[in-house]
Amino acid sequence: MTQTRAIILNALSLYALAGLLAAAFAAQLLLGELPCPLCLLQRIMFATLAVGPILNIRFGPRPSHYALSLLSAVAGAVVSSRQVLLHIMPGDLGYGSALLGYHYYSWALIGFIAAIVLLAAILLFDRQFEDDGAAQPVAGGGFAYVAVWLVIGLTAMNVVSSFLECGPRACADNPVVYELLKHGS
Amino acid sequence: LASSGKPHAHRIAESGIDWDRTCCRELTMEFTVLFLAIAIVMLVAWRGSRTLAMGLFAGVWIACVATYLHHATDVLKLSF
Repeated sequence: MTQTRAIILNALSLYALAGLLAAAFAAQLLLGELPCPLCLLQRIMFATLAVGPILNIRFGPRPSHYALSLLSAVAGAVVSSRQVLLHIMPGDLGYGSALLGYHYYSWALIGFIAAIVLLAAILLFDRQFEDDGAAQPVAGGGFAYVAVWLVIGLTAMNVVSSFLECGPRACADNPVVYELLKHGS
Repeated sequence: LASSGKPHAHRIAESGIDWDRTCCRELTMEFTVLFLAIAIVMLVAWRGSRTLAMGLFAGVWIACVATYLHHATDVLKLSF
């Protein structure tokens, strides 16, 4: 796999992360399900997954950039595993609604494990780390440009959303209202 | 995550750490700050220097793990 193809793959991974963050927002806004603290932490870990691909697009693929994403994926898998284990007792209905039979944190665990496997797989292709003559810095074109700003924008929206939900204090364990909006409504 | 307001002695027994004696007994705006921090890391990765971005990433990653561990020492509730 050449450097150019690796950058296209990195841009695609950013679109996947943007889709995931957008889906979480859709569940929050359309279904009215506010994310719990562990759910927010899982979103944060998905957002940190994007730093590696952004660096790959900007500076060209390097193993150290993939290592950042691997660290994020492992931490995310730990967080989502904890939430799965919190609800593993028979009879426990879980937190929030289920999507295709699995709760969001179960899907998050599957997503983080898939990310670990995919990152390991892409690291097998050594040719991406050789400069293929493309002009530096590597930009990736409009396709990558849109992907990067999409992920940054969705992360910025989460800044606002989490502030509205939690307010200036620690987040509620089982949030049902936006802390900053409940007095105004 | 366990709810706040648990008996003090209970919390110490569960975590082995007296959070009241630490600086982060009740982290405020922790998730908002983490989202903001990671957005800044992304902007630095896209516009700034690679070294700075990787250094900032390390700081945010450690903060995320610390946030997780802070809550992981709370009393577990097995159902909501």
